[in-house]
Amino acid sequence: MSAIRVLVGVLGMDQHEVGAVAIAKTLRDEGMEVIYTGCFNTPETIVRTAIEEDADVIGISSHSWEYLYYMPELIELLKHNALDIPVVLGGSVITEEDAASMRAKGVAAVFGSGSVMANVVASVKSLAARDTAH
Amino acid sequence: MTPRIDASIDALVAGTLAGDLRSASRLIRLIDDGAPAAWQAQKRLFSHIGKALVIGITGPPGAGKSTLTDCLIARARRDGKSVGVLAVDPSSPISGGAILGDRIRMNRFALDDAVFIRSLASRGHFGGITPATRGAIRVMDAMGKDVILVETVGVGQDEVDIARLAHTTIVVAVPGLGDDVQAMKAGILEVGDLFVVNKADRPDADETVGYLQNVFRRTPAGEWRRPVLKAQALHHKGIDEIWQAIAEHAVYRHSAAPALKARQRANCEIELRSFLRQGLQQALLRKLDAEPGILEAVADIVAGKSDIYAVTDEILGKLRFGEEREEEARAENVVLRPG
Amino acid sequence: MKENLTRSGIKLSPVYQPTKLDDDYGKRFGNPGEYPFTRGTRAYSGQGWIQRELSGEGDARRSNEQFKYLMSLGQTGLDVIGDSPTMSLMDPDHPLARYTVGTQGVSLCCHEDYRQLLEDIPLDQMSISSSAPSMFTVASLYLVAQERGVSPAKLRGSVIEWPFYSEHCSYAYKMPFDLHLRMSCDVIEFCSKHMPRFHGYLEDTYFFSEAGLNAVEEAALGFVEIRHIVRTLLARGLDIDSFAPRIAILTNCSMDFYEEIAKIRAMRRIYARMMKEEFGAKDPRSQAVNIAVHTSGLSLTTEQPANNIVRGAVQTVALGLAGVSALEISTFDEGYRTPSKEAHLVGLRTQQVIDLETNINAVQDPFGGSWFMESLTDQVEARILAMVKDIESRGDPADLVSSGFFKQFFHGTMGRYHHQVQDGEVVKVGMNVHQMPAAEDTLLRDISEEKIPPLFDRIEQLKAWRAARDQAQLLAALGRVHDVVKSGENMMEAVLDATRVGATMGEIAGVLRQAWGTPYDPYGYLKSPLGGEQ
Repeated sequence: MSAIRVLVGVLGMDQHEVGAVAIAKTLRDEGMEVIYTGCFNTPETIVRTAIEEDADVIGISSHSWEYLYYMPELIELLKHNALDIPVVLGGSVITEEDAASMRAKGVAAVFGSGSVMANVVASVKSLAARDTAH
Repeated sequence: MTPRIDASIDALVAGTLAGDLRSASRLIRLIDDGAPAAWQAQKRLFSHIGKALVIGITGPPGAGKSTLTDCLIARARRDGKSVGVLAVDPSSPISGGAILGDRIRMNRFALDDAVFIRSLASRGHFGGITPATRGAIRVMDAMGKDVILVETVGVGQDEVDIARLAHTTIVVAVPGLGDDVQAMKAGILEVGDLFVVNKADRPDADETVGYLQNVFRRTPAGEWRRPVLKAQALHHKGIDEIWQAIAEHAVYRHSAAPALKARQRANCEIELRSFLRQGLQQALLRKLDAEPGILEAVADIVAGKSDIYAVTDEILGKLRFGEEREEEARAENVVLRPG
Repeated sequence: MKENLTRSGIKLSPVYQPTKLDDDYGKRFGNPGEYPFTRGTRAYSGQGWIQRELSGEGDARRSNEQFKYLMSLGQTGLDVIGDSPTMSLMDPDHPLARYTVGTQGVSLCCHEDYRQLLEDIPLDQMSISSSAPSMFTVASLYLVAQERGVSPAKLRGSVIEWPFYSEHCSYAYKMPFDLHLRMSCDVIEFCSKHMPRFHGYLEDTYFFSEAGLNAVEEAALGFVEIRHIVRTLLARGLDIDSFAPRIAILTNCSMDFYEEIAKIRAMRRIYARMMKEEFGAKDPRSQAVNIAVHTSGLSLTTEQPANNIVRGAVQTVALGLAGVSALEISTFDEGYRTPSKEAHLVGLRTQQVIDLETNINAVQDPFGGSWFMESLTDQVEARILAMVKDIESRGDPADLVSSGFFKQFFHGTMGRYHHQVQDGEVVKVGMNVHQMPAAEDTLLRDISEEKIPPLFDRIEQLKAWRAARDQAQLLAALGRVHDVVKSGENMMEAVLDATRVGATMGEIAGVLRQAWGTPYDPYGYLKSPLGGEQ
């Protein structure tokens, strides 16, 4: 028996867990194992946890602008550790323009306000499959 | 979804033995997913294990198991010990998915290189741990962790499996759960080596402590008399006393107490039988999967050309179960037609 | 008092009653200003509500300028919120705080910050409401008032006490519940003695109801917290009438127009009866609870932000009809950021248009006696009371906090709300109906999406400032804070002394945790200046 393992967490001082909890539950209901790390993470703790938990995908939920600084740091740190784990970012504060800049910086998928949960699920599934197919 | 194995089993085993986190983590994944390669890897690790102290932590939900685990990590680290943590959470019986969130309470060790925390989903297994837990303990042991803390699911009264894996099993209870403590009698009370009444600042703590002490009053001489300790894990109180009791239990474990020997033998037999059962099951399932006639048989049954019982007997017969099935049938006949 | 006429010249009475007053009217309603205060806590004054907008950004100086700007627009009270670190008892130079300093509120961590924040603000005239941690806000306000020669007894305003719920759905203090509760009670007791016009206890149901709670759940959880805090204060031997007059409530206001009005009416009645009948309050001021409101940020959308202006206006009308004591509109850019200058302007002007142009304040409780509204108020009231009873029957509320009962509850409501929006059960125009392609959705976008950069300078400045303090004096004062935690006395005097000699909020909070036996820095980055940690 096996399952997709997804790390879901929130970075920095952002204490809005609504989105993170909702996505964690949705992914669980899709049969995935969600390693939920709650709030107060940093790129360092996320990368370390992803290694410890052998995560297939990292999901970051963000409701503060901190992601603008943390996400590039996270992507760099993954690269620095030679880890090929795709990162998905979601949150209502993310504008179209910022989403594009995040994608350009290496974030695999970005979901802003009004995103449909089914699309998030499909994206996580395909990214996990991509990981496996390597 | 079994992840790609981008390193050979050799490399994963070598990495694990050298204490490499990524190798060990991937190996636990392979064990958890039941990958055939995992068996070979565990076989090779076996001669390198046995150095770690394995502590099980069980008890009802809300008792504070994760918080106590966090305190025990801190305590072990103060002695300079490296720590592995396995935290088991339940899988959803409907989707098979899980939310594994115990590690949030241990977040302050997220960047401590000597601490490796791994979450496991119960994946439909009852008994508080998972079939992969033993393998995961051995991986952490092989990578050189001094202390391994295993936190069980904590949903039922049947979480007795942990006692077979842990050197010392801690049962965490909270005051005010009078009925729960009574109900514990059934299973958990027997597996605990030491009992911690957490949240002991509550007024009814002494009552719970008294009840548990009374249960263990009549321990035979030379056997382990289970201590009942008070703690407030949230306030980091009572941890040194628990640590001390674990050390005292280690002294007992190295004694020649008769109960100890019996327990070791029983545990070993259970594990061996479980391995054999797994192996047998896998081998037979592989045969069954290779059986070509099943789809046609289904068509025949649906069309009313043959009955499902006859078809089952026929296929099992081909897989050479025939004789046992007939014997069973004979046995049933005897029961069905007494006299 | 000025006479109010309709445009056609019909004279409006300040309050309308049944033509025949009977016992039932007195028991269930009473006129405004009369027990059980269903129709309002004060007799008609014609003054309307305190109009303010939530403010605070960057450092104290910038926020001080923001205050002055808002006052110049006609704002009649101040309402300040700290940035995430400030709200979480964390100094701006904490490693986790780095990218949030001053971005979503003002960065405040020491006495000097409050001096700058309150410069030129008439402390004896302006009511100052703060969401920043109460113990430190009160200490600094008290010290600044003294320095400026204003008696602290003249200060008006409020601080929030949220020991039950802050940890789970707002800003984590990372304080054990018992310690947080003690801090709250110490503040309330201190204020009742030294700042008698100041609300040392604002029960803030707004922030946790943003976890997707409905009106009944919001009020019920608020009452559970109020009741526990009141009981704790009574157990200290305090007289209910010594502190209850300065309890107020800050609620949310969603888009469910009628129910929100009924909620506020029901809450006033529940509160009055509870205080009088259960807790024995005799002073009518202890029975009448002022309710201030912050309109729901959750009801807003990031799509088509101009629609949010309409939402704020509709909510303001509801609150005007319900009769609230103060009001802030969640501004149209709330979905993205803390309020911009432009959004502040629109928020205040919305309040002013409704206050001054519509005659809304001419008549108090205009819905009173409406078959529909009275029925709805009764039903909301019954459900709130049933839920309070249900929660309290589950055990000591304090145990429910530590066992994670409320956390589970909030996670449930968050998920429920999320699904309600996804499924369209909660309609949001522009988001789940009447959507518009992103390329066309441009109105007010530029303002909404503008960002406040983190104040990296402040981190460096603070480090330098820390080093320049009298270290011996500082350590001695922090040592006294440590001791007072152990002694069980009211902690405010020791906190005032430490604040006076330059101890920061993060340092004092850390020492409080340490004295309680928990880590000085719950995130594991900082060491206690007092040493001696586990």
